[in-house]
Amino acid sequence: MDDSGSRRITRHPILGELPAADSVTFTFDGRSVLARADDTIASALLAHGIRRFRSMPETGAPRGYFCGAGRCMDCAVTVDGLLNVAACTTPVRAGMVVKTQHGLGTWGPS
Amino acid sequence: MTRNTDVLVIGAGPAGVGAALAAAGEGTRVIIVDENVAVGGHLRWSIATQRGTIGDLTDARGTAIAAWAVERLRHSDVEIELGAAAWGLFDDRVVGVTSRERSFQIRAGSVIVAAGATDAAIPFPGWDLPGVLTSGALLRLMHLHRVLPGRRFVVVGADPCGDEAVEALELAGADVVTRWRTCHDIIAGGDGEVVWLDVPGARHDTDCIVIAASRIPDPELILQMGGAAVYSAIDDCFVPVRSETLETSISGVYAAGDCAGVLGAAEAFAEGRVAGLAASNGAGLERALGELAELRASPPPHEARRPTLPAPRDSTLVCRCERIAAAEIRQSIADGAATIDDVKRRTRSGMGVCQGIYCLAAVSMLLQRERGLAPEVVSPMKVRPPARTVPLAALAGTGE
Repeated sequence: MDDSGSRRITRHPILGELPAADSVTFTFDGRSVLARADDTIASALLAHGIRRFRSMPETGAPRGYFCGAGRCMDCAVTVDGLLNVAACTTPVRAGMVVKTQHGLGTWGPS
Repeated sequence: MTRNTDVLVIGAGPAGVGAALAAAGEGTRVIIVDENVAVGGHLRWSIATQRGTIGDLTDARGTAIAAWAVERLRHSDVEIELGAAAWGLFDDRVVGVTSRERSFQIRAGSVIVAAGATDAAIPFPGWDLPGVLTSGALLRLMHLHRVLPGRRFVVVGADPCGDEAVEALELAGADVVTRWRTCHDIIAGGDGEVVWLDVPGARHDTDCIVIAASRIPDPELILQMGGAAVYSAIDDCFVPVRSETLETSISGVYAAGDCAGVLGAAEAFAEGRVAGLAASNGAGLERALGELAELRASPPPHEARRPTLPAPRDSTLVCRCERIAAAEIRQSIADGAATIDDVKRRTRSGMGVCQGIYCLAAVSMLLQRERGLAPEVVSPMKVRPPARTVPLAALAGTGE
């Protein structure tokens, strides 16, 4: 079992065996997440079955991974204090502090 | 900071690659920009066979063509800027590009817009729940990152891309609960994430719903500059008017590939070649036009037609970004809104961060239905730069 997430496709009839990759650790809402160096924030979270990335303004309704192309911003998270970061197109980096973005978010140091 | 070049290609999918290689082959200075981290466009995450010939490859998988494109570009003189999003097209063919929190301009003798298409969306109750995603989003996740976003999958919608999604899921060993070929009368539900999907007569236990809608051409940069556009029935949207050599009504600006009408990869590549040769006065233009004409005459890989959008229930969310339900849009039309811009001004639909990609097709459909309008007369939203988000600090030139 690949510990960079239980949802990994470790072997694939066309793509082959999942190649080895360096590990990267970051936090999501304070919880440590082990990722592959070639992950985006979204792919790393989804690999661990984490599917809610933000909550909408006014309604608080959760959103997650929808378009995968950095256009819909349902996957917007707060990264190292920066708001409105598209998780689906942002590569992971060691030590990133990622948080669920609640509504419009709050500026300021994480 | 402004860079100068002869030909700027926006987008490095099959059309953009075809254009860049063709122009560079004439000794022209070429810059190609793409917002993704690698070239190949949507072919990077497609393991399906792409019918036809691209370069040395015939009937090859998307992933193989993308790899070929990487190699060919690397051995050419094309300057490649990745992670670089073209956000504005201005007079004198100056293009604003944002990359890594900076913004810069490129001034080009010719611009070839090869920005591709976006996944269409089909609103239904519960489609905003985490666990609902587009087929393109699914393929990216599975094939670029080797992740399955759920355990029990349902694919909804009539488009053939749904068949590609089902095949991809089955190859990956995923459990496909059902393939439901319409989005009429379906309801998704769950507590904060998808748990079930109701179709007439059954409730399916599912945690991941893949929307198989066709792709919509994205000619935004052309429309920004006021380029002439015309309704395309086969794409059910407006696409740029182009000359035989794929030049738009904006002098020196071409449109190639999916952004002017969804095509198979081989035809997109052939369009790119025509535009690239036209932009660089290449001697092979006549032959490239002939090759394109042959491809256009042969039957398309599949019926590239947008399925009819179901009329959403009043309570169904249409604008995901601003959380606007169909009832509000219907009310604005009843109150007098007669154009997409009218609806947008009254309801905020289309003002959100996605700038209408995922809602305005439904808004257009509602305008057509409620006002008895033909699709050709429902003009697209007036678009203004930026086509992508740009940090203010980058525009001010004070970004780090």
